[in-house]
Amino acid sequence: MNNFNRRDFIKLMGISTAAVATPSLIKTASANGGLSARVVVVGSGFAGSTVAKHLRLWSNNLIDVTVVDPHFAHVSCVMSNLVVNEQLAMSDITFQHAVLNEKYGVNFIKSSVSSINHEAAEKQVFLENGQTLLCDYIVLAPGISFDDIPGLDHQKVPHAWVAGPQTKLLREKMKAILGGDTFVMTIPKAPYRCPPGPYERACVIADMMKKKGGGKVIVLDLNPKIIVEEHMFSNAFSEIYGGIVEYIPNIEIKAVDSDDLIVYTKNHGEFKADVLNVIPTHRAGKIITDLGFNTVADRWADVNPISYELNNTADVFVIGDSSGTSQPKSGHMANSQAKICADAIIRKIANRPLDSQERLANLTTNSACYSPITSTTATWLTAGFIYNQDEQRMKAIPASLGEAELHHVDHYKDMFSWSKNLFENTFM
Amino acid sequence: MKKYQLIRYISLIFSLLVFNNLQANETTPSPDTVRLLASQCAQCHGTTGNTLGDFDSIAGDTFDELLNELLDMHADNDNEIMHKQIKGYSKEQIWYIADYYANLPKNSNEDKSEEKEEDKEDEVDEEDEEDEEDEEDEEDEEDEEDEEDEEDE
Repeated sequence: MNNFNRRDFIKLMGISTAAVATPSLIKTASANGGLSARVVVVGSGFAGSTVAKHLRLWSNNLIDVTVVDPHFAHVSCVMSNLVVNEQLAMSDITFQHAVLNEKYGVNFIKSSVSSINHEAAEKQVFLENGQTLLCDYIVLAPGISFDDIPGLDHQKVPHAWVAGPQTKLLREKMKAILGGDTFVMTIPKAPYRCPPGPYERACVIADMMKKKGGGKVIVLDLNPKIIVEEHMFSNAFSEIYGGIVEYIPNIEIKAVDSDDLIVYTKNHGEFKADVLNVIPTHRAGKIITDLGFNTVADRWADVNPISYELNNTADVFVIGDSSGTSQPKSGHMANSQAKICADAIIRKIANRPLDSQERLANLTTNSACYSPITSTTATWLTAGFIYNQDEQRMKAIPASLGEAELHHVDHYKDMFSWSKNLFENTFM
Repeated sequence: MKKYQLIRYISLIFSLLVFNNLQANETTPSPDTVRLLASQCAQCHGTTGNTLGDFDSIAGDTFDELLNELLDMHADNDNEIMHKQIKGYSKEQIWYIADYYANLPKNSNEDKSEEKEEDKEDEVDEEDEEDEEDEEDEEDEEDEEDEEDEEDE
Protein backbone atom coordinates (compact mmCIF):
# COMPACT_ATOMS: atom_id res chain seq x y z
CA MET A 1 0.00 0.00 0.00
CA ASN A 2 2.23 2.69 -1.35
CA ASN A 3 -0.17 5.53 -0.78
CA PHE A 4 2.68 7.80 0.25
CA ASN A 5 5.59 8.50 -1.98
CA ARG A 6 8.77 10.45 -1.49
CA ARG A 7 7.51 13.56 -3.27
CA ASP A 8 4.32 13.73 -1.24
CA PHE A 9 6.21 13.37 1.93
CA ILE A 10 8.80 15.99 1.07
CA LYS A 11 6.01 18.37 0.18
CA LEU A 12 4.24 17.67 3.42
CA MET A 13 7.35 17.93 5.49
CA GLY A 14 8.49 21.09 3.78
CA ILE A 15 12.01 19.77 3.59
CA SER A 16 14.13 20.14 0.50
CA THR A 17 15.69 17.11 -1.12
CA ALA A 18 19.09 18.72 -0.73
CA ALA A 19 18.90 18.02 2.98
CA VAL A 20 18.57 14.31 2.38
CA ALA A 21 21.68 12.40 3.18
CA THR A 22 22.74 9.63 0.90
CA PRO A 23 25.33 7.11 2.07
CA SER A 24 27.91 8.51 -0.33
CA LEU A 25 27.50 11.99 1.13
CA ILE A 26 27.79 10.60 4.61
CA LYS A 27 31.05 8.89 3.75
CA THR A 28 32.49 12.07 2.28
CA ALA A 29 31.49 14.07 5.31
CA SER A 30 33.24 11.64 7.62
CA ALA A 31 36.35 11.08 5.58
CA ASN A 32 37.36 14.70 5.79
CA GLY A 33 41.00 13.89 6.33
CA GLY A 34 41.09 15.37 9.81
CA LEU A 35 40.16 12.22 11.65
CA SER A 36 43.56 10.80 12.40
CA ALA A 37 43.70 10.00 16.10
CA ARG A 38 44.40 7.11 18.46
CA VAL A 39 41.75 5.58 20.70
CA VAL A 40 42.36 2.88 23.31
CA VAL A 41 39.28 0.85 24.30
CA VAL A 42 39.49 -1.07 27.57
CA GLY A 43 37.23 -4.14 27.58
CA SER A 44 35.65 -5.85 24.60
CA GLY A 45 32.19 -6.90 25.62
CA PHE A 46 29.10 -5.46 23.93
CA ALA A 47 30.08 -1.84 24.65
CA GLY A 48 33.80 -2.08 23.89
CA SER A 49 33.43 -4.13 20.71
CA THR A 50 30.68 -1.89 19.33
CA VAL A 51 32.60 1.34 19.91
CA ALA A 52 35.78 -0.11 18.41
CA LYS A 53 33.98 -1.37 15.31
CA HIS A 54 32.04 1.84 14.71
CA LEU A 55 35.04 4.14 15.26
CA ARG A 56 36.74 2.31 12.39
CA LEU A 57 33.65 1.99 10.24
CA TRP A 58 32.59 5.62 10.57
CA SER A 59 36.04 7.17 10.19
CA ASN A 60 36.78 5.28 6.99
CA ASN A 61 39.50 3.47 8.99
CA LEU A 62 41.32 6.73 9.74
CA ILE A 63 41.12 6.39 13.51
CA ASP A 64 43.63 4.01 15.04
CA VAL A 65 41.71 1.82 17.51
CA THR A 66 43.32 -0.57 20.00
CA VAL A 67 41.25 -2.81 22.24
CA VAL A 68 42.74 -4.20 25.45
CA ASP A 69 41.07 -7.23 27.02
CA PRO A 70 42.40 -10.14 29.12
CA HIS A 71 40.62 -12.71 26.91
CA PHE A 72 40.89 -13.57 23.23
CA ALA A 73 37.12 -13.95 23.03
CA HIS A 74 34.05 -12.52 24.69
CA VAL A 75 31.42 -14.87 26.08
CA SER A 76 28.01 -13.21 25.82
CA CYS A 77 25.73 -12.95 28.83
CA VAL A 78 22.92 -12.51 26.31
CA MET A 79 21.48 -16.02 25.71
CA SER A 80 23.77 -17.57 28.37
CA ASN A 81 20.82 -18.97 30.37
CA LEU A 82 20.28 -21.25 27.37
CA VAL A 83 23.78 -22.62 27.86
CA VAL A 84 22.84 -23.44 31.45
CA ASN A 85 19.91 -25.55 30.27
CA GLU A 86 22.00 -26.95 27.40
CA GLN A 87 19.84 -25.63 24.58
CA LEU A 88 22.95 -23.79 23.32
CA ALA A 89 26.65 -24.60 23.40
CA MET A 90 29.30 -22.26 24.82
CA SER A 91 30.60 -21.79 21.29
CA ASP A 92 27.24 -20.29 20.25
CA ILE A 93 27.78 -17.34 22.60
CA THR A 94 31.58 -16.99 22.24
CA PHE A 95 32.98 -14.29 19.93
CA GLN A 96 36.64 -14.03 18.92
CA HIS A 97 38.14 -10.54 18.94
CA ALA A 98 40.19 -11.52 15.87
CA VAL A 99 37.05 -11.00 13.76
CA LEU A 100 36.99 -7.22 14.39
CA ASN A 101 40.69 -7.14 13.63
CA GLU A 102 40.33 -8.95 10.32
CA LYS A 103 37.21 -7.13 9.19
CA TYR A 104 37.78 -3.59 10.44
CA GLY A 105 41.45 -3.39 11.44
CA VAL A 106 40.78 -3.01 15.16
CA ASN A 107 44.07 -3.73 16.98
CA PHE A 108 43.79 -6.19 19.84
CA ILE A 109 46.11 -6.65 22.82
CA LYS A 110 45.49 -9.49 25.29
CA SER A 111 46.28 -7.88 28.62
CA SER A 112 44.74 -5.85 31.45
CA VAL A 113 45.15 -2.18 32.28
CA SER A 114 47.08 -1.46 35.45
CA SER A 115 46.85 2.31 35.35
CA ILE A 116 46.32 5.29 33.06
CA ASN A 117 47.66 8.82 32.88
CA HIS A 118 44.91 10.97 31.41
CA GLU A 119 46.16 14.40 32.45
CA ALA A 120 48.41 15.06 29.45
CA ALA A 121 47.07 15.65 25.94
CA GLU A 122 48.89 12.49 24.92
CA LYS A 123 47.44 9.94 27.28
CA GLN A 124 49.22 6.85 28.54
CA VAL A 125 47.62 3.48 29.21
CA PHE A 126 49.85 1.15 31.23
CA LEU A 127 49.28 -2.57 30.72
CA GLU A 128 49.96 -5.55 32.97
CA ASN A 129 52.17 -7.02 30.24
CA GLY A 130 54.56 -4.06 30.59
CA GLN A 131 53.45 -2.22 27.45
CA THR A 132 52.51 1.47 27.53
CA LEU A 133 49.99 2.64 24.93
CA LEU A 134 49.90 6.29 23.85
CA CYS A 135 46.59 7.72 22.69
CA ASP A 136 44.32 10.76 22.39
CA TYR A 137 41.11 9.25 23.78
CA ILE A 138 40.36 6.42 26.21
CA VAL A 139 37.10 4.46 26.29
CA LEU A 140 36.52 2.30 29.36
CA ALA A 141 34.05 -0.56 28.98
CA PRO A 142 34.86 -2.81 31.91
CA GLY A 143 31.41 -4.28 32.60
CA ILE A 144 30.54 -4.89 36.23
CA SER A 145 32.10 -5.87 39.53
CA PHE A 146 30.34 -7.27 42.60
CA ASP A 147 29.84 -6.21 46.20
CA ASP A 148 31.48 -8.49 48.75
CA ILE A 149 29.29 -10.85 50.75
CA PRO A 150 30.87 -12.52 53.80
CA GLY A 151 31.66 -16.19 53.14
CA LEU A 152 30.89 -16.07 49.44
CA ASP A 153 33.24 -18.08 47.20
CA HIS A 154 32.23 -17.95 43.55
CA GLN A 155 34.15 -21.09 42.71
CA LYS A 156 31.65 -22.98 44.88
CA VAL A 157 28.65 -20.68 44.55
CA PRO A 158 28.52 -19.39 40.97
CA HIS A 159 27.00 -16.04 40.06
CA ALA A 160 27.04 -16.93 36.35
CA TRP A 161 26.34 -13.21 35.74
CA VAL A 162 29.57 -12.68 33.82
CA ALA A 163 29.38 -15.39 31.17
CA GLY A 164 32.18 -17.89 30.59
CA PRO A 165 33.59 -20.32 33.16
CA GLN A 166 30.88 -19.25 35.62
CA THR A 167 28.16 -20.22 33.13
CA LYS A 168 29.81 -23.59 32.73
CA LEU A 169 30.06 -24.05 36.50
CA LEU A 170 26.33 -23.42 36.94
CA ARG A 171 25.56 -25.74 34.02
CA GLU A 172 27.62 -28.54 35.61
CA LYS A 173 25.85 -28.07 38.93
CA MET A 174 22.48 -28.19 37.18
CA LYS A 175 23.48 -31.42 35.43
CA ALA A 176 24.09 -32.98 38.84
CA ILE A 177 20.99 -31.64 40.60
CA LEU A 178 18.27 -34.24 41.23
CA GLY A 179 14.49 -34.10 41.09
CA GLY A 180 13.21 -33.02 44.50
CA ASP A 181 16.35 -30.97 45.21
CA THR A 182 16.38 -27.28 46.12
CA PHE A 183 17.89 -24.50 44.01
CA VAL A 184 18.30 -21.15 45.74
CA MET A 185 19.17 -17.94 43.90
CA THR A 186 19.51 -14.32 44.96
CA ILE A 187 18.64 -11.28 42.84
CA PRO A 188 20.79 -8.15 43.27
CA LYS A 189 19.48 -4.74 44.17
CA ALA A 190 18.59 -2.69 41.08
CA PRO A 191 20.12 -1.31 38.97
CA TYR A 192 21.88 -4.44 37.80
CA ARG A 193 22.87 -5.99 34.47
CA CYS A 194 19.86 -7.21 32.44
CA PRO A 195 16.70 -6.34 34.42
CA PRO A 196 14.61 -9.39 33.34
CA GLY A 197 17.65 -11.71 33.49
CA PRO A 198 17.33 -13.10 37.03
CA TYR A 199 13.59 -13.76 36.64
CA GLU A 200 14.34 -15.41 33.31
CA ARG A 201 16.93 -17.58 35.01
CA ALA A 202 14.42 -18.60 37.69
CA CYS A 203 12.07 -19.73 34.90
CA VAL A 204 14.78 -21.62 33.01
CA ILE A 205 15.90 -23.41 36.18
CA ALA A 206 12.30 -24.14 37.25
CA ASP A 207 11.66 -25.63 33.80
CA MET A 208 14.70 -27.90 34.29
CA MET A 209 13.49 -28.94 37.76
CA LYS A 210 10.01 -29.61 36.41
CA LYS A 211 11.52 -31.94 33.81
CA LYS A 212 13.47 -33.70 36.55
CA GLY A 213 10.19 -34.45 38.29
CA GLY A 214 9.90 -31.40 40.55
CA GLY A 215 11.85 -29.73 43.30
CA LYS A 216 12.18 -26.24 44.71
CA VAL A 217 13.44 -23.00 43.19
CA ILE A 218 13.67 -20.37 45.92
CA VAL A 219 14.11 -16.86 44.53
CA LEU A 220 15.43 -14.38 47.09
CA ASP A 221 15.00 -10.87 45.68
CA LEU A 222 16.76 -7.91 47.30
CA ASN A 223 14.21 -5.66 45.55
CA PRO A 224 10.74 -4.96 46.95
CA LYS A 225 9.09 -6.66 43.94
CA ILE A 226 9.71 -8.13 40.49
CA ILE A 227 11.23 -5.08 38.80
CA VAL A 228 10.22 -5.76 35.16
CA GLU A 229 7.50 -7.72 33.35
CA GLU A 230 5.93 -8.25 36.75
CA HIS A 231 2.71 -9.70 35.40
CA MET A 232 4.51 -12.18 33.12
CA PHE A 233 7.00 -13.42 35.69
CA SER A 234 4.64 -13.55 38.65
CA ASN A 235 2.21 -15.59 36.53
CA ALA A 236 5.03 -17.88 35.43
CA PHE A 237 6.10 -18.38 39.05
CA SER A 238 2.60 -19.07 40.35
CA GLU A 239 1.05 -20.91 37.40
CA ILE A 240 3.58 -22.58 35.09
CA TYR A 241 5.93 -23.26 38.00
CA GLY A 242 3.40 -23.29 40.82
CA GLY A 243 4.63 -25.49 43.66
CA ILE A 244 8.22 -25.20 42.38
CA VAL A 245 9.08 -21.49 42.53
CA GLU A 246 8.88 -19.68 45.83
CA TYR A 247 9.49 -15.93 45.38
CA ILE A 248 10.47 -13.82 48.39
CA PRO A 249 11.09 -10.04 47.98
CA ASN A 250 12.86 -7.54 50.25
CA ILE A 251 15.63 -9.93 51.24
CA GLU A 252 18.68 -8.63 53.06
CA ILE A 253 21.65 -10.98 52.85
CA LYS A 254 23.87 -11.32 55.91
CA ALA A 255 26.32 -14.00 54.79
CA VAL A 256 26.77 -17.13 52.71
CA ASP A 257 28.18 -20.51 53.69
CA SER A 258 29.84 -21.59 50.44
CA ASP A 259 30.60 -25.15 51.65
CA ASP A 260 27.22 -26.05 53.12
CA LEU A 261 25.38 -23.89 50.54
CA ILE A 262 23.36 -21.75 52.95
CA VAL A 263 22.24 -18.13 52.53
CA TYR A 264 21.81 -16.31 55.86
CA THR A 265 19.45 -13.36 55.68
CA LYS A 266 18.86 -10.51 58.10
CA ASN A 267 15.09 -10.67 57.81
CA HIS A 268 13.97 -14.13 56.62
CA GLY A 269 16.13 -16.69 58.40
CA GLU A 270 18.33 -19.03 56.41
CA PHE A 271 17.96 -21.00 53.19
CA LYS A 272 19.78 -24.27 52.53
CA ALA A 273 20.37 -25.25 48.90
CA ASP A 274 21.54 -28.19 46.84
CA VAL A 275 22.66 -25.71 44.19
CA LEU A 276 23.22 -22.11 45.23
CA ASN A 277 23.39 -19.18 42.77
CA VAL A 278 24.24 -15.89 44.48
CA ILE A 279 24.31 -12.81 42.23
CA PRO A 280 25.66 -9.98 44.40
CA THR A 281 24.69 -6.35 43.93
CA HIS A 282 26.75 -4.70 41.19
CA ARG A 283 28.96 -1.68 40.79
CA ALA A 284 31.09 -0.31 37.95
CA GLY A 285 34.05 -2.36 36.80
CA LYS A 286 36.89 -2.22 39.30
CA ILE A 287 39.06 -0.01 37.08
CA ILE A 288 36.60 2.90 37.47
CA THR A 289 37.02 3.16 41.22
CA ASP A 290 40.68 2.09 41.14
CA LEU A 291 41.45 5.08 38.94
CA GLY A 292 39.51 7.37 41.27
CA PHE A 293 36.94 8.66 38.77
CA ASN A 294 33.78 10.41 39.98
CA THR A 295 30.84 8.11 40.56
CA VAL A 296 27.09 8.43 40.88
CA ALA A 297 25.35 6.67 43.77
CA ASP A 298 28.89 5.71 44.79
CA ARG A 299 28.70 2.88 42.23
CA TRP A 300 28.64 3.99 38.60
CA ALA A 301 30.82 6.17 36.40
CA ASP A 302 29.53 9.74 36.24
CA VAL A 303 29.14 10.36 32.50
CA ASN A 304 27.43 12.81 30.17
CA PRO A 305 24.95 10.78 28.05
CA ILE A 306 25.48 12.92 24.93
CA SER A 307 28.97 11.44 24.63
CA TYR A 308 29.61 9.11 27.61
CA GLU A 309 32.59 11.30 28.45
CA LEU A 310 33.29 11.37 32.18
CA ASN A 311 32.05 14.54 33.82
CA ASN A 312 35.16 16.40 34.99
CA THR A 313 37.60 14.21 33.02
CA ALA A 314 38.03 15.24 29.40
CA ASP A 315 38.61 12.67 26.67
CA VAL A 316 37.95 9.65 28.89
CA PHE A 317 34.66 7.87 28.15
CA VAL A 318 32.77 5.12 30.01
CA ILE A 319 30.14 3.04 28.20
CA GLY A 320 28.02 0.00 28.97
CA ASP A 321 27.09 -1.38 32.37
CA SER A 322 29.73 0.67 34.22
CA SER A 323 28.15 3.98 33.23
CA GLY A 324 25.62 5.63 35.50
CA THR A 325 22.70 6.81 33.36
CA SER A 326 18.92 6.64 33.42
CA GLN A 327 18.99 3.72 30.97
CA PRO A 328 18.86 -0.02 31.71
CA LYS A 329 22.07 -2.04 31.82
CA SER A 330 22.12 -4.62 29.03
CA GLY A 331 24.15 -5.82 26.06
CA HIS A 332 21.67 -4.27 23.64
CA MET A 333 21.81 -0.94 25.46
CA ALA A 334 25.62 -1.08 25.72
CA ASN A 335 25.73 -1.43 21.93
CA SER A 336 23.34 1.50 21.58
CA GLN A 337 25.39 3.78 23.89
CA ALA A 338 28.65 2.78 22.21
CA LYS A 339 27.42 4.22 18.91
CA ILE A 340 26.70 7.59 20.53
CA CYS A 341 30.16 7.49 22.07
CA ALA A 342 31.81 6.63 18.72
CA ASP A 343 29.95 9.48 17.03
CA ALA A 344 30.98 11.88 19.82
CA ILE A 345 34.67 10.94 19.55
CA ILE A 346 34.60 11.36 15.77
CA ARG A 347 33.07 14.84 16.15
CA LYS A 348 35.61 15.80 18.82
CA ILE A 349 38.45 14.77 16.55
CA ALA A 350 36.95 16.84 13.73
CA ASN A 351 36.43 19.81 16.08
CA ARG A 352 32.69 19.72 15.57
CA PRO A 353 30.27 20.46 18.41
CA LEU A 354 28.55 17.63 20.30
CA ASP A 355 25.72 19.82 21.54
CA SER A 356 24.31 21.16 18.27
CA GLN A 357 20.51 21.12 18.14
CA GLU A 358 20.52 18.84 15.12
CA ARG A 359 22.41 16.22 17.16
CA LEU A 360 20.80 16.58 20.58
CA ALA A 361 17.27 16.50 19.14
CA ASN A 362 18.04 13.17 17.48
CA LEU A 363 20.05 11.34 20.16
CA THR A 364 18.26 8.06 20.69
CA THR A 365 19.03 4.71 22.27
CA ASN A 366 16.92 1.62 22.53
CA SER A 367 16.72 -1.59 24.43
CA ALA A 368 15.00 -4.76 23.31
CA CYS A 369 15.25 -8.25 24.67
CA TYR A 370 13.66 -11.65 24.70
CA SER A 371 13.50 -13.91 27.75
CA PRO A 372 12.77 -17.63 27.67
CA ILE A 373 9.90 -18.59 30.00
CA THR A 374 9.92 -22.31 29.12
CA SER A 375 12.17 -24.36 26.83
CA THR A 376 9.90 -23.54 23.87
CA THR A 377 8.39 -20.13 24.67
CA ALA A 378 9.68 -16.65 25.36
CA THR A 379 8.54 -13.13 26.15
CA TRP A 380 9.88 -9.73 25.03
CA LEU A 381 10.49 -6.32 26.54
CA THR A 382 11.38 -3.08 24.80
CA ALA A 383 12.05 0.62 25.47
CA GLY A 384 13.21 3.64 23.48
CA PHE A 385 15.02 6.65 24.94
CA ILE A 386 15.64 10.17 23.66
CA TYR A 387 17.84 12.92 25.07
CA ASN A 388 15.88 15.43 27.14
CA GLN A 389 17.66 18.76 26.97
CA ASP A 390 15.93 20.28 29.98
CA GLU A 391 16.76 17.38 32.26
CA GLN A 392 20.07 16.63 30.52
CA ARG A 393 19.45 12.91 30.51
CA MET A 394 18.17 10.13 28.31
CA LYS A 395 14.47 9.79 28.95
CA ALA A 396 12.22 6.82 28.20
CA ILE A 397 9.59 7.50 25.55
CA PRO A 398 6.30 6.26 27.06
CA ALA A 399 4.74 5.14 23.74
CA SER A 400 7.79 2.99 23.01
CA LEU A 401 7.62 1.01 26.26
CA GLY A 402 6.17 -2.42 25.80
CA GLU A 403 6.19 -6.04 26.78
CA ALA A 404 4.63 -9.22 25.43
CA GLU A 405 1.21 -10.11 26.76
CA LEU A 406 1.89 -13.83 26.55
CA HIS A 407 4.91 -16.06 26.36
CA HIS A 408 4.83 -17.72 22.97
CA VAL A 409 6.70 -20.07 20.62
CA ASP A 410 6.94 -17.28 18.02
CA HIS A 411 8.75 -15.04 20.50
CA TYR A 412 11.06 -17.95 21.28
CA LYS A 413 11.97 -18.16 17.57
CA ASP A 414 12.35 -14.37 17.33
CA MET A 415 14.76 -14.51 20.26
CA PHE A 416 17.30 -16.24 17.99
CA SER A 417 16.83 -13.67 15.20
CA TRP A 418 17.29 -10.87 17.71
CA SER A 419 20.44 -12.32 19.27
CA LYS A 420 22.00 -13.21 15.90
CA ASN A 421 21.67 -9.63 14.66
CA LEU A 422 22.81 -8.15 17.96
CA PHE A 423 25.88 -10.41 17.93
CA GLU A 424 26.61 -9.50 14.30
CA ASN A 425 26.22 -5.77 14.91
CA THR A 426 28.54 -5.98 17.91
CA PHE A 427 31.21 -8.60 17.33
CA MET A 428 31.36 -9.15 13.55
CA MET B 1 -8.74 1.42 4.10
CA LYS B 2 -9.66 4.84 2.76
CA LYS B 3 -10.81 6.09 6.10
CA TYR B 4 -7.59 4.87 7.64
CA GLN B 5 -5.49 6.64 5.00
CA LEU B 6 -7.38 9.84 5.60
CA ILE B 7 -6.81 9.63 9.33
CA ARG B 8 -3.14 9.11 8.72
CA TYR B 9 -2.87 12.07 6.37
CA ILE B 10 -4.65 14.27 8.87
CA SER B 11 -2.50 13.16 11.79
CA LEU B 12 0.64 13.61 9.72
CA ILE B 13 -0.33 17.12 8.64
CA PHE B 14 -1.18 17.95 12.23
CA SER B 15 2.19 16.70 13.44
CA LEU B 16 3.92 18.69 10.70
CA LEU B 17 2.21 21.87 11.85
CA VAL B 18 3.63 21.23 15.27
CA PHE B 19 6.96 20.33 13.70
CA ASN B 20 7.13 23.58 11.74
CA ASN B 21 6.70 25.56 14.93
CA LEU B 22 9.76 23.81 16.33
CA GLN B 23 12.12 25.47 13.85
CA ALA B 24 12.82 22.69 11.39
CA ASN B 25 16.23 23.92 10.38
CA GLU B 26 17.81 23.59 13.78
CA THR B 27 16.74 20.04 14.44
CA THR B 28 17.12 18.73 10.90
CA PRO B 29 19.78 16.03 11.33
CA SER B 30 23.15 16.34 9.62
CA PRO B 31 24.36 13.34 7.61
CA ASP B 32 26.41 12.05 10.57
CA THR B 33 23.40 12.38 12.86
CA VAL B 34 21.27 10.46 10.36
CA ARG B 35 23.92 7.73 10.34
CA LEU B 36 23.87 7.63 14.15
CA LEU B 37 20.08 7.61 14.26
CA ALA B 38 19.85 4.82 11.68
CA SER B 39 22.57 2.78 13.40
CA GLN B 40 20.15 2.27 16.28
CA CYS B 41 18.11 -0.05 14.02
CA ALA B 42 21.14 -2.27 13.39
CA GLN B 43 21.00 -4.18 16.69
CA CYS B 44 18.03 -6.10 15.24
CA HIS B 45 18.44 -5.49 11.49
CA GLY B 46 22.19 -5.90 10.99
CA THR B 47 25.07 -3.47 10.43
CA THR B 48 24.25 -3.06 6.73
CA GLY B 49 20.47 -3.49 7.04
CA ASN B 50 20.84 -7.00 5.58
CA THR B 51 19.21 -8.86 8.41
CA LEU B 52 19.99 -12.36 9.70
CA GLY B 53 17.30 -14.82 10.78
CA ASP B 54 13.60 -14.13 10.39
CA PHE B 55 13.46 -10.36 11.02
CA ASP B 56 12.83 -8.22 7.92
CA SER B 57 15.85 -7.13 5.93
CA ILE B 58 15.64 -3.38 5.35
CA ALA B 59 18.59 -2.47 3.12
CA GLY B 60 17.68 -1.60 -0.43
CA ASP B 61 13.93 -1.65 0.06
CA THR B 62 12.31 1.28 -1.73
CA PHE B 63 11.95 4.47 0.25
CA ASP B 64 8.17 4.38 -0.18
CA GLU B 65 7.95 0.82 1.04
CA LEU B 66 10.05 1.47 4.16
CA LEU B 67 8.38 4.78 4.96
CA ASN B 68 4.86 3.45 4.61
CA GLU B 69 5.54 0.34 6.62
CA LEU B 70 7.19 2.31 9.40
CA LEU B 71 4.44 4.94 9.46
CA ASP B 72 1.79 2.21 9.56
CA MET B 73 3.46 0.69 12.61
CA HIS B 74 3.94 4.14 14.13
CA ALA B 75 0.20 4.82 13.82
CA ASP B 76 -1.30 1.53 15.01
CA ASN B 77 -1.81 0.14 18.47
CA ASP B 78 -0.45 -3.36 17.92
CA ASN B 79 1.43 -4.80 20.86
CA GLU B 80 4.37 -6.05 18.82
CA ILE B 81 8.01 -5.31 19.48
CA MET B 82 8.73 -3.35 16.28
CA HIS B 83 5.48 -1.41 16.57
CA LYS B 84 6.62 -0.30 20.04
CA GLN B 85 10.21 0.41 18.96
CA ILE B 86 9.16 2.71 16.12
CA LYS B 87 7.06 4.82 18.48
CA GLY B 88 10.36 6.02 19.93
CA TYR B 89 10.94 8.07 16.77
CA SER B 90 9.29 11.15 15.29
CA LYS B 91 7.84 11.07 11.78
CA GLU B 92 10.69 13.24 10.60
CA GLN B 93 13.23 10.83 12.06
CA ILE B 94 11.42 7.90 10.44
CA TRP B 95 11.66 9.71 7.11
CA TYR B 96 15.46 9.98 7.44
CA ILE B 97 15.84 6.39 8.63
CA ALA B 98 13.79 5.12 5.66
CA ASP B 99 15.91 7.19 3.30
CA TYR B 100 19.14 5.90 4.85
CA TYR B 101 18.30 2.20 4.50
CA ALA B 102 16.66 2.64 1.08
CA ASN B 103 20.08 3.83 -0.12
CA LEU B 104 22.05 0.87 1.25
CA PRO B 105 22.67 -2.06 -1.09
CA LYS B 106 20.56 -5.18 -0.67
CA ASN B 107 22.83 -8.15 -0.41
CA SER B 108 20.27 -10.53 -1.87
CA ASN B 109 22.28 -13.66 -2.74
CA GLU B 110 24.43 -13.74 0.34
CA ASP B 111 21.46 -12.91 2.50
CA LYS B 112 19.46 -15.87 1.28
CA SER B 113 22.26 -18.41 1.70
CA GLU B 114 23.06 -16.98 5.11
CA GLU B 115 19.46 -17.28 6.23
CA LYS B 116 19.37 -20.91 5.19
CA GLU B 117 22.53 -21.65 7.10
CA GLU B 118 21.24 -19.83 10.13
CA ASP B 119 18.01 -21.81 10.05
CA LYS B 120 19.97 -25.03 9.93
CA GLU B 121 22.03 -23.92 12.90
CA ASP B 122 18.87 -23.28 14.84
CA GLU B 123 17.68 -26.77 14.29
CA VAL B 124 21.01 -28.17 15.39
CA ASP B 125 20.95 -25.96 18.44
CA GLU B 126 17.56 -27.10 19.50
CA GLU B 127 17.72 -30.78 18.64
CA ASP B 128 21.21 -32.23 18.56
CA GLU B 129 22.93 -29.92 20.94
CA GLU B 130 24.32 -32.65 23.16
CA ASP B 131 26.77 -34.28 20.76
CA GLU B 132 27.91 -30.98 19.39
CA GLU B 133 28.36 -29.52 22.79
CA ASP B 134 30.48 -32.26 24.33
CA GLU B 135 33.13 -31.72 21.69
CA GLU B 136 33.04 -27.99 22.09
CA ASP B 137 33.17 -28.16 25.83
CA GLU B 138 36.46 -29.99 25.77
CA GLU B 139 37.90 -27.21 23.69
CA ASP B 140 36.32 -24.58 25.88
CA GLU B 141 37.80 -26.02 29.00
CA GLU B 142 41.29 -25.93 27.59
CA ASP B 143 40.88 -22.34 26.49
CA GLU B 144 39.39 -21.10 29.68
CA GLU B 145 41.25 -23.09 32.29
CA ASP B 146 43.29 -20.24 33.63
CA GLU B 147 40.83 -17.47 33.02
CA GLU B 148 39.58 -15.37 35.85
CA ASP B 149 35.89 -14.74 35.85
CA GLU B 150 35.22 -12.20 38.51
CA GLU B 151 34.94 -9.35 36.05
CA ASP B 152 34.40 -8.69 32.39
CA GLU B 153 37.94 -7.66 31.81
